[in-house]
Amino acid sequence: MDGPPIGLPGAPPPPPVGISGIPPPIPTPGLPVDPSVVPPTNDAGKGNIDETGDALSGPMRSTPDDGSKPNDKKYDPDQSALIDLAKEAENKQNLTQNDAQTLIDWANEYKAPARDDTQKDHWGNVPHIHIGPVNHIPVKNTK
Amino acid sequence: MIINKEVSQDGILTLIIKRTDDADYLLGFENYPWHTHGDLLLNEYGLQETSSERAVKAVFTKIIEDKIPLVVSVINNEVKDVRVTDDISSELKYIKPNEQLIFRYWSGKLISPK
Repeated sequence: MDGPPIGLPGAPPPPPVGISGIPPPIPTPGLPVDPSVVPPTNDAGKGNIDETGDALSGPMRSTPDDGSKPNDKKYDPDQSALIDLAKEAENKQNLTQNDAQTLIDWANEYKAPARDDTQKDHWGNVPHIHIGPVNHIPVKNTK
Repeated sequence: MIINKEVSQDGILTLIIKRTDDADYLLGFENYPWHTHGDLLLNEYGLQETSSERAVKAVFTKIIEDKIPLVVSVINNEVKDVRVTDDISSELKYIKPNEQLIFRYWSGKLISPK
């Protein structure tokens, strides 16, 4: 990237080419009310389901009672916008090397934790980057 | 080189710590793509650790003590990834088409997202 991203501070950074325009998730037909959550297929959790949803209470609870995202506290708006982009990129699994470098550059600029592991083969021999809490975003071998 | 390894009671998850030749410490679930690094964990999960190695080991311990929620990503009845999470609502926001997410702890105890 030649310079700092446009539209900052305060606004989400413009998404790099190729990681924008993700359509909203499509519900899976035939599943119950909340298709995103299913019971496990193994027996380990049977009879041990936390029906209250309070399993996240205690020291590791990260979702505030006011409904705000925990990231709202942990990350500033620019970092949160960047993390959203990273999650989209992780989802689409088609991040180019150029887009990966853009995300790394933004992470450095916004002081968000990040790693460029596109040249590493330490985990499954897959080039990847890490942005904030989004770990292992695979990077294609194309610019 | 794997320096720590633990298999969940249900046999589904294998949590490992790897140390690379350049003294990088990695934490992840065997056979699945998600992993993280000690340097990324230093300021996470309320850790007071000052070294990459200690940070990874601290998170390893928190996971097997059921103190960190896990997400199992299932597509077409096949587990595709296992990762830790600190934001279940975000996990649901970015769910893939045809993906099913199971929120659980290491012990197998399920988490019902609100």
